[in-house]
Amino acid sequence: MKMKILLLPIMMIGLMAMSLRSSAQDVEELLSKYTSENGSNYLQPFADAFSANLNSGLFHNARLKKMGFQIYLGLETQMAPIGSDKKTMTASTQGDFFPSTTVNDVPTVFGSTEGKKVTDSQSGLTYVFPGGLDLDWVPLATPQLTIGSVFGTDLTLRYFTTSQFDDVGDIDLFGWGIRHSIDQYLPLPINLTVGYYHQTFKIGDYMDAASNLISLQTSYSIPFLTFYGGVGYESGSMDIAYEFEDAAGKTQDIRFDLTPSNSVRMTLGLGLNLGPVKLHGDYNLASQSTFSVGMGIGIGE
Amino acid sequence: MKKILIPLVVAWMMMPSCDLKDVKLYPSMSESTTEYIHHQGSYSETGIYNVTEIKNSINDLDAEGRVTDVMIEGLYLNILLNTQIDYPVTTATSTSADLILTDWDGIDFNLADDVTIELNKTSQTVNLHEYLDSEGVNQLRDMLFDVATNAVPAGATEVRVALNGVMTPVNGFVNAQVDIVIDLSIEFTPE
Repeated sequence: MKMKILLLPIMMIGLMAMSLRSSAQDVEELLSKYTSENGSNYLQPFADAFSANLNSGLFHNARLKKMGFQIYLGLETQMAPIGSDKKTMTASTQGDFFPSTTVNDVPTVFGSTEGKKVTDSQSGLTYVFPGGLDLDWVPLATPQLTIGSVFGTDLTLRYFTTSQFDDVGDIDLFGWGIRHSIDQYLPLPINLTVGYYHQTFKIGDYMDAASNLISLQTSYSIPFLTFYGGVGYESGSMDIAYEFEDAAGKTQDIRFDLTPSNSVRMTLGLGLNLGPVKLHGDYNLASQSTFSVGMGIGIGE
Repeated sequence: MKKILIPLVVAWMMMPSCDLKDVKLYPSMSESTTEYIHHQGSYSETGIYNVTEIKNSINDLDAEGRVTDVMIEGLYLNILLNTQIDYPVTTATSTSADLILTDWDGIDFNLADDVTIELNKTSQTVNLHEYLDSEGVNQLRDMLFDVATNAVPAGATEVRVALNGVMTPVNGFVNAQVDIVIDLSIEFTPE
């Protein structure tokens, strides 16, 4: 079975490399059972959580100067809590098992580690749906630079690359975003900006993910504290491809084109300003919600 | 301040990795035995699955841990006609056969009953699901579990499956290579 996948992006910060390396290997084996719609459903919660994480932590205030130097460099961390509805799916038996049977409460990639077995009492044949990793959270971390402001506009960049994992190829994250101040045109008691962000994430030939976020952002600051929030519309894609070798030794190219389920999100956050040190946390309410915490150095914000 | 905040953030990010559980794995594999049938009227041929070869196949699976279950997911026949050039070509139009499993103690179990095979194609696959006898399938599963868990009785080296059948018409001849294939999933539980 030649397939290396998925949970590797979580490893990008390296903190969980040891434990998650074995998880990636487990997922490789678990997913080997799935070559069609079951596979898409099995992985869909991962696409939802990963994309939701990627679109989180992109801003922590909405204050943009009309013209002047502003910079923020930090590490943004995100956590997507996995609800019970994301841990099970409805699936159908595949392969040589007859009669074809549709079964509820089959584990997804985040579901129980125990597989679901279905036995046909007449023939005595048993089909097993693989279990999952029994995860309650999916984390992500991304380095981020935001720089401005020119005519009330700033630019956000996210970038990460590594070739450390020989057997999966390069892992690349690249994201950019642009924000423009609205409150420079309107006499408002709060800061208001509109922003667009686009990010891509690739793992060798195995995973190609992209996400887009359009958001309306607002913030209000008092000494040491910034209250911020926003509403956004997000979309994305995640293509996963691998080579599958079946029990008979036949190789097939398997491909899953997933669409993350999130569309509208609402953000509510609080920032702590300790001179140039900025610490902030927010909650993003959506179909797949996330928490985000970031810390960095900000000047002129 | 930074000295406190950084470990806090790191600890928070580490939390999910602490939650990682031991994962049961269910890799799939196939075992097959080949029987050559070149008979007129009726036949009885026995296919042999070598215990050591089955065990080696299980050991080759990409999974670690203790084998805690063996599941038979499918049983089917791959049939090739007229492969043995030293024998006459097939003249029978169909055959009806039983598959008989012999357990470690020499007791026979019906694995499949009255499997009807139309002999009108040079190559075909016959899924046995509608002919299977659950008692025989369960017995086969138990024997394969014994193999996977090193519980095979001393001296037993083979799993034997006989194919007993008759031709239609009764004086028809069959020249066929028959593979009896078992699709399996093996449950590995981390130790």
